[in-house]
Amino acid sequence: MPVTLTINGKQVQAAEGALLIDVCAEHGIDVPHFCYHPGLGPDGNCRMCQVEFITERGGRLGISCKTVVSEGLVVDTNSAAAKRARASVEEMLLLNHPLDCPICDKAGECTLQNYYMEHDLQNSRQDFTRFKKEKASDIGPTLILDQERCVLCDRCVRFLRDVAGEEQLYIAGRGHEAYITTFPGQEVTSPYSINTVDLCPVGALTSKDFRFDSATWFLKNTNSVCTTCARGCSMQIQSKKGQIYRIRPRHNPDVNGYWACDEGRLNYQFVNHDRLQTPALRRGGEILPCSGQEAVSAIREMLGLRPAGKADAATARKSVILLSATATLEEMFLFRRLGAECLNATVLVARHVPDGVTDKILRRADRHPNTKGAEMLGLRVIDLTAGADASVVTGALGSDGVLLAVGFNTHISPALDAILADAKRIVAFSGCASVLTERAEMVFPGLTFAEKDGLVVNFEGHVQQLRPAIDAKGESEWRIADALLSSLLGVKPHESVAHVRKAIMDVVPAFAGVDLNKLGATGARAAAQPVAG
Amino acid sequence: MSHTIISTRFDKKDNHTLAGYLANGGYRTLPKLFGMKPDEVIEEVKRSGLRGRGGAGFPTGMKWSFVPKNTDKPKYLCVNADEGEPGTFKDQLILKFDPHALIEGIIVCCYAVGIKTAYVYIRGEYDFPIARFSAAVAEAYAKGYLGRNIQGSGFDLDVVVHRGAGAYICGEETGLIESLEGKKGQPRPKPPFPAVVGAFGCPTVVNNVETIAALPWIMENGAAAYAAIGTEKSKGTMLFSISGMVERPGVYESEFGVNLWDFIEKSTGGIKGGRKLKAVIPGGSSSAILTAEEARNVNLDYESIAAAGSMVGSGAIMVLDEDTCVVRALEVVLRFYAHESCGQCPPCREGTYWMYQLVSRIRAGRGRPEDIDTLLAICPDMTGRTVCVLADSAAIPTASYIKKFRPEFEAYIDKANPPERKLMPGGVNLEAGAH
Amino acid sequence: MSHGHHAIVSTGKPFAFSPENEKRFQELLPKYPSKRAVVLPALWLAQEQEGHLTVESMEYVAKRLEQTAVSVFAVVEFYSMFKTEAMGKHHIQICRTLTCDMLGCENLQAVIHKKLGIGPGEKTADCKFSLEMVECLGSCGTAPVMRMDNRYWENLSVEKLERIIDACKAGRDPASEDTGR
Repeated sequence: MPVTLTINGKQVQAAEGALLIDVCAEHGIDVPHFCYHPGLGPDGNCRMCQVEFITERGGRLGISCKTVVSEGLVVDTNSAAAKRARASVEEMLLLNHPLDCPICDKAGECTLQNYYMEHDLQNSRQDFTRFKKEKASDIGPTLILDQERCVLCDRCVRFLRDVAGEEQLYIAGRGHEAYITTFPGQEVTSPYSINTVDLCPVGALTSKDFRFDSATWFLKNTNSVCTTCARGCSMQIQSKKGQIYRIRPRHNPDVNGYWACDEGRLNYQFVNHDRLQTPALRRGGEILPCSGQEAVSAIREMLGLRPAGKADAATARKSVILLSATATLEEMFLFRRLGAECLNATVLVARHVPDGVTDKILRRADRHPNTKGAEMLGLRVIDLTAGADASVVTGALGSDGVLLAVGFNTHISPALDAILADAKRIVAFSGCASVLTERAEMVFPGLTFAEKDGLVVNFEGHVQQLRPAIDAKGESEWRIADALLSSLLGVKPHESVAHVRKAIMDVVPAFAGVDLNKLGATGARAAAQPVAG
Repeated sequence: MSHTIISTRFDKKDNHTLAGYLANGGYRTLPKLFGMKPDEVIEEVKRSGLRGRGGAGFPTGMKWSFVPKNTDKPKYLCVNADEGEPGTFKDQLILKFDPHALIEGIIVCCYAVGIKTAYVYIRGEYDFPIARFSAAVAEAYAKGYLGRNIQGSGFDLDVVVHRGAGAYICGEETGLIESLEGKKGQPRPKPPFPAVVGAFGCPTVVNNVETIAALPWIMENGAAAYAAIGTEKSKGTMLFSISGMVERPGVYESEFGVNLWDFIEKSTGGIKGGRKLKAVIPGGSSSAILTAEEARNVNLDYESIAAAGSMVGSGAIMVLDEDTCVVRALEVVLRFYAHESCGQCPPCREGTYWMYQLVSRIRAGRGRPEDIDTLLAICPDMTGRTVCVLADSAAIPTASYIKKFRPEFEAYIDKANPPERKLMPGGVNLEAGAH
Repeated sequence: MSHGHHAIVSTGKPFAFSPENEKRFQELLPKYPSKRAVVLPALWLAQEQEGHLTVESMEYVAKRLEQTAVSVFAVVEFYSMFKTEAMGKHHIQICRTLTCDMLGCENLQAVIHKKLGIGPGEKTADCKFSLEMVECLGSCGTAPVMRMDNRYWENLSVEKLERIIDACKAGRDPASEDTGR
């Protein structure tokens, strides 16, 4: 039974059992808070979410995070008493706060700072020496703790205990001497530790990876997807001048809730450094830059295709198109067509990043974002993490086949390495230098997840969109595939990636039920079962 | 005093032993108790008008009746022997000199509410009271007053003595429960109240030692006899811990409704050394201070003391004589609350320390003219804003000491007229005090 | 008080309950419906055995009760009677709250300073004495009071405290000096 209550003079309906703070948020009223978090639930310690309840006996202050809505409740979130109560909490929290905002990583996204602007804006009435606590404590591989900045909201403690399942932080001591701590000599080692940095409403917990790297307000935000494992957590890529500075989770109730693992957040260094930027062709043992036109001609020559005109699959040289399971749906789709319609090619998708662990929270052992997408396209997925399926590739290549390796930016597994050693002629589509690009006769500089516009399908069949966060450093794989395809088939190339998605929806039954061009920020669930291919 | 209930046996020889207690009429109420239905016992306690003696003064029978009758969960009694409110030292006398009365009272409460396990949470510093009470519990087990089938009644009850470890806040009932559960003693937001969700997630009664110790008398003499003592809303008697600048400090029992100063003077022999009365703190350090005139004109009962703007609290009466410095008294009280704040809620965690810093500065002669008003302005921001009332407990004395003795505070600040450096009655010059 | 864990370091000395404490520990377990509830009693046993709580003893208690070490540490740091460093053989706790302050507890502090040369939070070089000014001991009727050697010393005067300290220094039982004011 829904209940009716009055918030700031407006009657609203809410679900029975709902928390007032959530109901307020649903109606556009953001009641200030430090300790409450929708992913952690209410705790009630910070007293910041006080509102005034209007009763027959007059006004009464109470915290909205612990208030379950009830029929006839009358609430004023902005009464003078409520505002004074919150301003006073803000003042109390600032009494012994070090106010080192100019050197604090949290500045610009600090809740304490923001609420000061909203509530207080007074000079401090406190003119004592501020209480000293430990600063810049190294509390583990990912985190730095500043006890002076801490507002003791307990979020980090509750996250590690209640969500990550590893109680590694606690508030010790009491009164104004209370402080966040690990056990003496122990560290925070949770694979989800950096969520505590996001949760921290102030700059008490900072990420070693991001510390002192950039003022937060200079960063550009791009909604994208983590490509580190088959979960595909919704992420926000934060970048500046073509470099990624930080990756943070975005709330997605269907995929990752509010969280992300540390590995996923930190898996971006290869995007920023040592990127291949121009096509290159091996001539007389030396690999030298070439033009795009030269590159396409070289490929046609390698594949035994006539220099111009339509393809003739029957006369083409035998080849294998080996796509990484990190490739996007569009790349897989176009390369599949290329292989099936223009070339004498076997198209395979490879899992090559070594398996991680599957845990009860987010992480999946399969560290490829699009294994499921490949299966749904009907592509054969082979396992090159351990080498079991390497013979499938070598067999298909035969003695003089051409290997087109697409999307292997990182992790050249021993099995893949063996295939490369065996292959006579290799064309690499890769954004990063590796043994693959060293052995290749022809290298197209590919893109990383941070530059692509493309789709990935997580292990549960949830489709999400990668969006380009930084300018492309190489050439789009799907465009190259599409260029080859159109020239060989003599058809018009796709105008945009949206047209490729339209084609996928038209051709692949597994994606018929979902509009791939209207996925929104959190994506959509496609048909759960892969279609046999 | 005309009526003594709790303290009757305090000075009886060997009363702390089972044999001594039995000789003094102890455990006599058990046959009557086990002959009654549990609900009848609750009704009897309700009719007696007994109110909690720990500080809040909540009606005891009503508290018990909030415990759900039909529940699959076990129920618990937590006896609050944390006795932390400064000025209070009455419960230790019960633990030391009449421990079996507490055990008998525990049996009454547990039988009425349907409880099989009672935890007696005693503050960690009380080495001797813990030892005395533990010995009494052991003897009660040995002689069939605790354990299985108490005195052939079919009623089972276990009593566990649990030692605190130094934290005032564990005297707050949900702080006590958290501490009993092995955690930091941080009070819980309410609701839910302990009667519904208390210790170990189960319905729990939390009662003060003295409250429980009053039960055997009520069972033996009847609710009507108890209710006949005292006033309309303050029935029965209470142990008052009287300390400070009086000739004979100690615990004195009185029925409610007597004149406060008369009671203090008659019990203790009045102010030490024939000096003059300055003020009385009637209900522990968290209660508002009463001036000498107010103390002379108020009766000692819940409603009269409340009407005078203070509270009976835990019955801890502290007497300040003419030489006692109110500014120093407030500094010491605030230092206590800053030290004892559990640290959950910012208004308390930060506010108590801030107020202590301000008063400390004033007392040290470094106060600024605006400090007094700043202190007064902080008080409402610390009242009714937090999980428990510790913040209020610091704000109440602050506001009342300043309101009633403002010139004393101003004298420390007014640099043109340097204050006479006060000596505390103990004789040490505070300015030279080695901090 | 330390504000962080760097002050508390492992002694490298392993800890386990003595046979007698193990027996007491086993007796405690059935008295509570949860293992966690035994944390305070078990810490008391550990502290009585070692004199203070070491990194090893806190880890031991946590392990025996299936709690995380950090949660046990937080409990230790919350309660003023749990100590993470060694106190003197005679740990003197002088009450400093209202009634004791009115009745001259600062004189007692001065006595300790004069006779032993230590202030609050300090320990004599021979580790025989340490001093702590504590909040209300709940014995205001016999103020000023102190707690030492697991008992209270009440109605203290400067002279009485001097006699008690002298007895301790001489290795005599100070209880004989607990007379009068």
